[in-house]
Amino acid sequence: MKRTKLRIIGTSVTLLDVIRKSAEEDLGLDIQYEILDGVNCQQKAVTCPDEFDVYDQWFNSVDLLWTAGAIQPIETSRITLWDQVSNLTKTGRISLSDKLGQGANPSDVQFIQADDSLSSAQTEQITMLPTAHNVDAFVYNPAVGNHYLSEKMESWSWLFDDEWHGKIGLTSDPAIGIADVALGAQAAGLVQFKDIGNMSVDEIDRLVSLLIEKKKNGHFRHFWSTLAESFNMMDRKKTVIASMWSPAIISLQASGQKIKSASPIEGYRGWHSGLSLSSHLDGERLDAAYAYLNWWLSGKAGAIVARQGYYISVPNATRDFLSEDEWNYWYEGHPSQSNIRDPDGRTIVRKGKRRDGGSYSERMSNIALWSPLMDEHNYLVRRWNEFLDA
Amino acid sequence: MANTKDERVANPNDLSTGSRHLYQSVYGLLLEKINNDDFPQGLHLKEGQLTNILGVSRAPVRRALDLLHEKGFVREASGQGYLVGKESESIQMGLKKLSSILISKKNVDVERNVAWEGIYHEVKDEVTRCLPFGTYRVLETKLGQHFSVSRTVVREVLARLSDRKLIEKDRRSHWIAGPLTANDIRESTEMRQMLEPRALAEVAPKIEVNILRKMRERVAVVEADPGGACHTQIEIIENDLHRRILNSVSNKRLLTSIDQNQLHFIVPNLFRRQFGNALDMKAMADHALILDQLLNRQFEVACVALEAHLKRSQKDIVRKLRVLSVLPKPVTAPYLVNIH
Repeated sequence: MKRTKLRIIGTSVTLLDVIRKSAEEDLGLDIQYEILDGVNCQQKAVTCPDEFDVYDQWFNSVDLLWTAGAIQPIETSRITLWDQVSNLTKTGRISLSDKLGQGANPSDVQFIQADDSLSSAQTEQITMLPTAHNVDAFVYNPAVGNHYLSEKMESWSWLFDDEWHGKIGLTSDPAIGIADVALGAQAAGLVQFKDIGNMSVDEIDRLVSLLIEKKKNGHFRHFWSTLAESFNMMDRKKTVIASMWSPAIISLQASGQKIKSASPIEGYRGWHSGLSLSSHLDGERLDAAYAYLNWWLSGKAGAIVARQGYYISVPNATRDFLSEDEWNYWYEGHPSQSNIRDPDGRTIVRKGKRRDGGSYSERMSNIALWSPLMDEHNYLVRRWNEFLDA
Repeated sequence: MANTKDERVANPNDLSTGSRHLYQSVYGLLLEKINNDDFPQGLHLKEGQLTNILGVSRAPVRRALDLLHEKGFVREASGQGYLVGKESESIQMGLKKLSSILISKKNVDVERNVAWEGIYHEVKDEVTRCLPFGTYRVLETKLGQHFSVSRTVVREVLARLSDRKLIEKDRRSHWIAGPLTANDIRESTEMRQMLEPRALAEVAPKIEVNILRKMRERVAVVEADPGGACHTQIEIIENDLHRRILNSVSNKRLLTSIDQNQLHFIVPNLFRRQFGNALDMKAMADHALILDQLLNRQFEVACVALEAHLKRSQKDIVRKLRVLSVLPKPVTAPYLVNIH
């Protein structure tokens, strides 16, 4: 019998071959992954919804897809473990004492209302099934500038510090890249924002002018659009401090690089990814897509992404698929009792080490800014590109 | 766009002026007559008849009729020609009567338009199409060359675009268009929120019921079959409520101010062309509600509903503008250069 084919578009952050193979085996589906960078993935999803079945990306892109009619509602009644999904995307934080964070809190676009608007008011239809998430900041090589490091607390302002002139790596993704440098400029006292998660035209202009000036004088020199590029820049010592995402950090650690993930005093940049259903899906293929969504919450995928440093929206279901030591290291922030391995089995953490930043609750409770989608996003993208081209 | 001699204006007394394509003028004239209900539903339009009345060759008339057919304003007649509308039975009209409708005083005025008007709409369309996609410089010399018009005409066109806040001069005196921001949308919509309900309150009791009914029918047609409607139909509906209905307002400065704040129409128009009409249905429901209240002589309610509609549309347009950030940049006319 011919197997149903499911076409999934996303980024290298979550489209991992080990996940694809595992899902294919468990579900009896033919699963095809198309890996794109963040912006191209959004462009394809918005302009060609017929060319994908499931969209696997970040919550801060949901409103773009929903506005363009590219995705359809997900019925929570068809999500077996919906009740076990954590509060993060339902109420905006895991526990009431956590910071809500500025920017695009995923809960703001989670639920579909009767008038088709999106909000955190709970309904039985959602835009995106929440899956992997994490907090990001930057990594640095503690062997460089040791005297300096011993004197100062980790801060986003380091991105603007002359100490690292010409050796800073930034992501080229407009929404995420601007968030990182805005946190840096604000922490350094160079630009102030009324609402850093929703900047005005004037604020964007001031920030981009500063960035262009810093690029022209050689301060900002290195930009990456894929995990591999960010890895190579650090691996070849072109950068010693860089915005970086977990899989690249893990790979650098696995290759023996001594790097440290910063826990900035200002707080992290949070992000949440998930799965959305293309507007064209129906019948058998829609059923297959729901099966894939449910599989993602069954625990196995959560364990795979945990070994990449990511958390999952159903931690309890995932715990059964991790060893006690893995759970304690990744989620509880305890020192490892044995060597910790990545999804490919490479040792990435030696026995006795503790995760930078601590436990799940310590890290997720300290979000300064969620990856944003500002009202001026279109303007910001144009100006950001101007900075990249400067 | 083709620049064949056949479609160009050879005579200043022709329908079209300057360098505007003749078929566009014929199309615009026929569409206006259909929209204003000067042409009854079912009117049989024949190529030969129109050619004789308008004094132009067959090619532009044929092209204009094809375009009207393509956009759903006319349907094919069983023999020759086309019938106005979608359902009514065929109505024949004599040459004299048809001629009196087509060659009204207003059209004579149109014939005497100055040269800049011939290219203004095309330049305006090109500029507005680019606005959300970055900063563009308008090259005056290239613009003149493109349309084979003098510098005076170019300056006249640019001055009018500047009046509409579509372009402005930078520090080096270059004409710059864009980028359109969410703040521009907010300001433009806020102005409309102040002006339109005020104008509607004045004109509402004077609007002919027949005109309102026709406007309401147009909305009903789109609501019944959103996928079948073309974007031009939606644009006509938008124009009905936000401009045509307000035409008779006594304070002409008010009308001018309304005309100067049209930035917020740009994004929905571009969005519709890219993604179709299905996403405009909430706005269509608003239009239906406002027109129904006007038909029921509930003028105050209609004004409040109009204000609420404009307020809602602001958020919707800002969200649509964000989506345009991921679309590829459009191919522009040679007189527009993307700077950023």
